[in-house]
Amino acid sequence: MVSEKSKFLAEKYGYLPETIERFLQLFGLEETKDILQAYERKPKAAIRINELKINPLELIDRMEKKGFVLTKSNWYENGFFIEKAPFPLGATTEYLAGYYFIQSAASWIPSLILNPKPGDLVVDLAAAPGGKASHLAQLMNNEGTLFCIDLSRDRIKSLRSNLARCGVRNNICIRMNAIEFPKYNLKADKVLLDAPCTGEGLMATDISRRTSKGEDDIKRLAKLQKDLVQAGIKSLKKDGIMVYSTCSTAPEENEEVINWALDNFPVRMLEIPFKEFSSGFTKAFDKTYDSELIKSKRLYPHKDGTEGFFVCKIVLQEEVE
Amino acid sequence: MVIVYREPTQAEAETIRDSLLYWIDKEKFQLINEKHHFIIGDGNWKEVFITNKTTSAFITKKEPISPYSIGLGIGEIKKNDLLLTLSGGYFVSPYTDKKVIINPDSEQLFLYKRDIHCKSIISIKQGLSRNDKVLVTNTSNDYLGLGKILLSISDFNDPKKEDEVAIKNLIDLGWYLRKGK
Repeated sequence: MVSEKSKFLAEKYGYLPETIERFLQLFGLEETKDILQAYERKPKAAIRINELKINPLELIDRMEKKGFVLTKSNWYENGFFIEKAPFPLGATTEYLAGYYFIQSAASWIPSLILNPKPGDLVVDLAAAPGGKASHLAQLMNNEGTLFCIDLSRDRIKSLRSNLARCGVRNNICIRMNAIEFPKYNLKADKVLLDAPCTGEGLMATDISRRTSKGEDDIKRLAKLQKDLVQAGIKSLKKDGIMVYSTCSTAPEENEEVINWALDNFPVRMLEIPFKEFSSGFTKAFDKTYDSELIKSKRLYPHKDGTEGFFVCKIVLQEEVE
Repeated sequence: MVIVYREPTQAEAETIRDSLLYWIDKEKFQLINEKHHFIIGDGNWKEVFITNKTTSAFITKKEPISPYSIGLGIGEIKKNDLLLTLSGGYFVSPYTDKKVIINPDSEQLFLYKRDIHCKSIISIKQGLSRNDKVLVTNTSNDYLGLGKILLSISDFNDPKKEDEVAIKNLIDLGWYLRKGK
């Protein structure tokens, strides 16, 4: 049942009425208005400096000489926001040379939280187009091995191109359905699952998502997300870490998926060292989730100036076949 | 077409070594050989990749893995020669002095597939000849791509030839925007 208030806001901001109804139930009227107004503004463009190829200070100096104005993120030393760009960020020699990756601030977080070390065996289960994968390789200093999995023929080309541009050498890219990855029986130290999602958090940058994704998409993707989480867990060694993230704010794609994992596998959640962001839900709509879910984090456009985003970190207590 | 990833044969290893010795001296090649592992992707053509020891070990595991790619693709073996890719040029750039430095005005043109005119050249490694391959860099020593010398180097400073094409663009970083998306 969609309320008159939902219909009014949906009309005003160009959303599906049922999407607004969900927002109202989750956030209340005032916060929903704040969210909708924040989605009217695009988040600041941001870059991640690629230390595999350049010293950050040198790049900043070069960009400033070209007229770019950058401000440093207060929680990631290689993350910068672009305050002023005299020409497109994707058209500089520095970009083509792989000295930086154009990447939203929220997208820095999963790789930072996973925190892979040189020598680790790491799997990125949804790797294309390679923003987070190249970040993982950077954190691994091109040592150890990074498996990059993606099914799409077109997107894996972009993945390979982006990894090459960034000078990544420790990768094995496999075009396959990530759900089947456990068949290789490789037990990884760390797994990143930035899962395919409705992209509900991207409504500022991709306006079509305001009306193109509904509750059926959420249900369909939640099933896929659970299958992928299972594949990720089966690909971990004991005490291995998995980071799960989406660019959706729908609880069914986030807390509910992880709640299902907590119920069905020997995993527990770990704290995330980003206190400035909101905690995950332990209740949403008519459902109650494991209290551990409070350790997950949510980012919002009206609070954090980013796209809507969810991220959490789990550890496997014993191997799963 | 299924690509089979494997260690290079003796003949392929020699081809890789001999071709890289065009760009770098034996000592530097030795350094590269100790630090990196070469892998052959054998399909419609023979692609050469470099990666680390840990990663290359996965291709010889019992459970066969069929990668789309591995490490960094540096070139293709064709007629007993290793033809460097865009990434291959980047890979050898810290080790080689076979470079031409071009001026800032021509940098953007080169990145849009254009050839390099004599007047755009600031300096070039001495001893290179017509038909030699060369790494193209800007004044900040950024690797921009690969070129082939079309004139005698002594002609580069000839005022009558300043508008002639001195170096043909073989591939440039703009490829990442044109084709790599």
